[in-house]
Amino acid sequence: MAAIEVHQFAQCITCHAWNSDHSMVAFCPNNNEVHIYKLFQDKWEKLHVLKKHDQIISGIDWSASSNKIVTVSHDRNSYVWNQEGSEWVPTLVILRLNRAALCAQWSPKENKFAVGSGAKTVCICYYEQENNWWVSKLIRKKHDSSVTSVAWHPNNILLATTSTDGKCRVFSTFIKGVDTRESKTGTTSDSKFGEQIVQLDLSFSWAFGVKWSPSGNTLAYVGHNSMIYFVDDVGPSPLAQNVAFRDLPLRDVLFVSEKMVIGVGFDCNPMVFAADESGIWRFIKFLGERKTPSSGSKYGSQFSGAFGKFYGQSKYGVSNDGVETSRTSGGVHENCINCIVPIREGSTSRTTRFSTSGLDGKVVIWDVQNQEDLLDYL
Amino acid sequence: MIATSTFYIIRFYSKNMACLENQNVDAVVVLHSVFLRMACFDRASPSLKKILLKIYRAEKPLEIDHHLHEFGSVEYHIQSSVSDPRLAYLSISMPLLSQGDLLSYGISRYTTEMIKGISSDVLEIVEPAKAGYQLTLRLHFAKIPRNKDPVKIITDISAVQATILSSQLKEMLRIVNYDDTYQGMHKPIKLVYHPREPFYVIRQPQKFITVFPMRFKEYSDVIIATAFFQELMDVGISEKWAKAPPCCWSPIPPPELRGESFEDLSTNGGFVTFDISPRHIKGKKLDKTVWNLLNFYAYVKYHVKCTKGFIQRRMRKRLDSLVEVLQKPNLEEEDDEHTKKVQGCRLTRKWVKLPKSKFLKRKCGEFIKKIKRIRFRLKIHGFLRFRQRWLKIPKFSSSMKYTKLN
Amino acid sequence: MANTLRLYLTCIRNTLDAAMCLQNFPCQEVERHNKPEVELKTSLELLLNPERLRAIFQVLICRNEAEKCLIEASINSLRISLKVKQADELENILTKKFLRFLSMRAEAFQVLRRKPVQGYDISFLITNYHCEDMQKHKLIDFIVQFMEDIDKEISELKMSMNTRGRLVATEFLKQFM
Repeated sequence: MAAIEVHQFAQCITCHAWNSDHSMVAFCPNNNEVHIYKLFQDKWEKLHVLKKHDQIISGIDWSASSNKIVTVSHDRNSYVWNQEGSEWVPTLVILRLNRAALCAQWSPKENKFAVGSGAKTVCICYYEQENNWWVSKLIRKKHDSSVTSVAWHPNNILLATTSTDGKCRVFSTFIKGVDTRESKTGTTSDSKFGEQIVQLDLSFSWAFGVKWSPSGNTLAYVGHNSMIYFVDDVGPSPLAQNVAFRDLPLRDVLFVSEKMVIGVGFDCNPMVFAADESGIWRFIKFLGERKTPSSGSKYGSQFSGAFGKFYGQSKYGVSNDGVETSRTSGGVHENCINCIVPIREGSTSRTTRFSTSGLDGKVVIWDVQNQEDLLDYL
Repeated sequence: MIATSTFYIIRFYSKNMACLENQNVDAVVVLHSVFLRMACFDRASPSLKKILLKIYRAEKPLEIDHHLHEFGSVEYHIQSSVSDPRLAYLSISMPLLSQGDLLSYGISRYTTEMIKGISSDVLEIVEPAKAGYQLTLRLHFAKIPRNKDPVKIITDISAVQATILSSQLKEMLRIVNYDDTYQGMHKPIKLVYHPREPFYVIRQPQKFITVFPMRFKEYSDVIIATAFFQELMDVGISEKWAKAPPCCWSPIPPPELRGESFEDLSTNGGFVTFDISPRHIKGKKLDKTVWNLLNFYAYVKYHVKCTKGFIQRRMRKRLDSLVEVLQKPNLEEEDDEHTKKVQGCRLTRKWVKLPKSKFLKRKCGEFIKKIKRIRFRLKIHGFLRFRQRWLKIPKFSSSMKYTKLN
Repeated sequence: MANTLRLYLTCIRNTLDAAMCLQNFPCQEVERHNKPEVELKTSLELLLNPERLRAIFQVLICRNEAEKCLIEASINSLRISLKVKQADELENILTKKFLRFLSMRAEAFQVLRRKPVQGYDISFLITNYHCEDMQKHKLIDFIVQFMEDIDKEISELKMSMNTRGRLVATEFLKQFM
C-alpha cells in the first residue's frame, strides 16, 4: 500500500509541482497550459489555467517559501508566475535561448532557478531588483547535446546537469551580488560562474534525471541503458557506483533519504534503490505490486536490462515459448512515469512521501513510511 | 464481342460476389468458373443484338444508320430505312484470321455456307459487299418462321462474327484432317484473331499443334497466368482428363516455331501448346474445340482479371480486421477513462500484497543474483579505454569496498 | 518451422519492448521543431546506440535470409522495417500487392510509414505521440500480430488462388469433352 492516493487529472501529464502545504498542484496536461488544482474538502477542483506559452510545457517548479511558479516550454520561453490576489501574473524571463527549454528548478534559497535546454546550454536566472526583471546567465559550450535535467546542490551554488550526450556535469553557478562567499563549502570555494567542477562519463546512452542527496554528499542520475549511477565525493576524485537493473530505463530519480533513492521510468513502477552499511547501492524492490514477477533466464553480464533484451533474452518466464500478448502493467501507472516530486513536511531533510506523474495522466502519491522493509534506509 | 460480353458478365458477377463475400471461398470459386464458362460461350455481340431487336420490335419503321466498333478491329454497320421497312442491312468488316495463302481469298465458300446456315429464310448475302466491308447481309425480319423463336434467330445473327471466325478455323482444321496422308513438317500458320494476340497452328502427321504466345501488360498478370498454366498442366495430366487435348506450358518457344520472326517469339508469359488430334475435331466436337481455341486468350485474361479482383476484395476485408487491432486499445482506453471519471477524482485503492518476508525473499533473492555492482575509480581521461576493457570481461568479482583514486 | 517463427516474433517483441522507450524531444537543429529523430538523423547522439563505441543504432533480427526485421530507435521515435518471406514469384507479387495496398491506406494504421525503408517491404514509424495515445503493449501486440497476419494472409491467399486456378483449368478442359 505504498500508493496512498491516485488522481486521474488528465489524459497525459508532462510534469507537475506542489505548493508548500501541498493543497495545490500545478501540472501540464501535455499541451501549452498549466492547470492548477486545489483540494476542497476531499475533492480536487480546477482553480486556474495558466495560458501564456504556445508550445508544450516541459518543466514546472513551485517555490515553497516565495510561492512563485516557474514554467518553461518548448517555445524557448520561461515565465515566472506570481500570485496577486486570486490571479496568477506572469513575468516573461528572457532566457536568450534559440531552442526548446527542457527542464527547470528553483535553487534551494529560491533566489535563482536553472533551465536546461535543447540549445545545449543551461540558463541560470536571477532577479535584479533595480531593473525589476529576471536576468538569464548562460553556461555555454559545455554540453554536447540537449540538457535533460538540472539539480541544485543544497549549498545553492553547485548545479548538476544531465545531457543526451550521456554525461553528467557539475557546475558552479556563483553569481556576484546574489550569492555570498561564506555560503560555499570545501573545494568549490574559488570557482567562478560556469566553471565545470566535474564531468562524469559513465553512461553509454542518454542521461536523464539527476538529483543530490539531502546532505549534498551523493549525486544520483540515470542512463537510458537501464543503469543508475551514484557518485560520492563530487570533486576532483569522485567515487562512482553503477547499478544495472533488468528492467526498462528510468526517467527520473529522487532521494528519499541519504541511503534510499526512488527511480521512476518506462517500467511504470517506482523502483527502490538503497545503500547498505558499507555504502553499496543495490536494487531493493518495486514499490508498486507487479502481476508478473521477474524470473526466468539469467543474464549475467553487466550488459543487462534493455540491451539484454536486444539479444533475444526473455524477461518473463513464459515468454520464451510463445507469441504471447505483452504483459499488461499491473501497477498504479499504466504508462511511462516521467516526473517524481518530493512532498516535504516542514523543514526535515527526510522525505517519506512523494508524488509521481506520467503519460497516463495520473498523479500518484506514495508513502514509504509504512513499508517496514524499507524503514532501515530512511 | 467477347470483350464486351465479358464486361457484362463481370458486372453481374461482381454484384453477386458482394452477396457471397462472407461465404466460403470454394463457393466463390465455383461461381466464378460458371460465369467464366458463360462468358466464353456467349458468341453473340450484345450491342448488335440490342440494335437488331430494336429494329425487329419497332412498331413504326425506324431510320437507323449505325456504326459499331467492337474488339478493336471489328466494325458493324447497321442500316434500316423508313422507305423500305421490311429490310435491314448488316455489313461487317473484320481482320482475316490468317494472312497466309490458305485463306487469302476473303470469305470462303465454306464460310458463306455457314452464314447461310444461320437462317436461310431471314438473311441473304448481298454481292458484292458494301465498299469497305467484307460481308453485307440483307435481313428480312418478316420472314422469321412462325415456329421458331425470333429472339434466338436474332441472337444467332448477332453472332455472325463468331461464325465467320470459327468457320475459318474449322475449314483449316478440316483440311488438316482430310490431309493426314501428308507426311513431314508444315510451316506454322500464324492466326491473327486479334492484332496483339496471334497464335499458331502447325500441321503435323496425325495431329496439329496450336501454340499461343502469351503476352501480358503487367508483371503480376504474368505471375497469375503462369500459376494458372501450371494448374492447367497438372489438371490435364490426370487420368480424368486424358481425353482432353494435352496441354503444355514452357517459357521458351517450342521447336515447331523455329524460323518465326523474333518479334512474334518474344513473350513475357511463355508459350502454351495444345496438341489437337483428329478425335477432337470429329463431328460436333469440332465446333467446341474451335471455339475454345479462339477464346483461350480471353479465358486466361478473364481469369487474371477476376483473380486480381479477388485479391483486392480479400485485401480490403483484411485491412478492416488489421485496423481493428490498433483501434481496440483506443476504445478500451476510452472505456477505462469513462469508469474512472464516474468513480471521481479521489481514488484510493488497496493493493494486493504478499506476506512481507516472502515478498522480500523472492524479490531480493532474484535481484541480488541479477544486479551486479561495479565499482571503479573514476577518471575521465582515458575512460574509453577503461570501459572497453570492462566490456570484454563478462563477470565481475565484486569486493565490497572501493578505494579512492590518489 | 512454427517454433522458429515463435522465437523470431518473441525476439522482435522483446526488442520492441526495450526500444520503445520514447519521449517528447524537441529538435536540436531547427528552432521550434519537433520531428522524429530516427527520420532526420541529424543529431547522431540521439539515435539509440546499444554501444556508443561502435556507430550502430540498428538492430537487425533475421529469421532467415528472406525474413528479417530492422529496428531503428531514437530518443523520440522508432522505425520498424519488415522483410516478408517470399518463397516464389506468386508470393512475391501477392506480398507486394498487399503491402502496397496497406501503405496506400497508411492513415488507417497511424503507425504505418507510407514508404518502406529501402530494402524492406513495409515500415512502421512509431513516435512518442503514439506512445502517449496508445498503450505501449498494445502497439507491440499490433506489430507482432501484423507480422503473423501478413504471413498467414499471404499463404492463404496463395492457396485460394491455386484452388481457383485449378477449378478454372478444370472448367476449361471440360469444354473439350
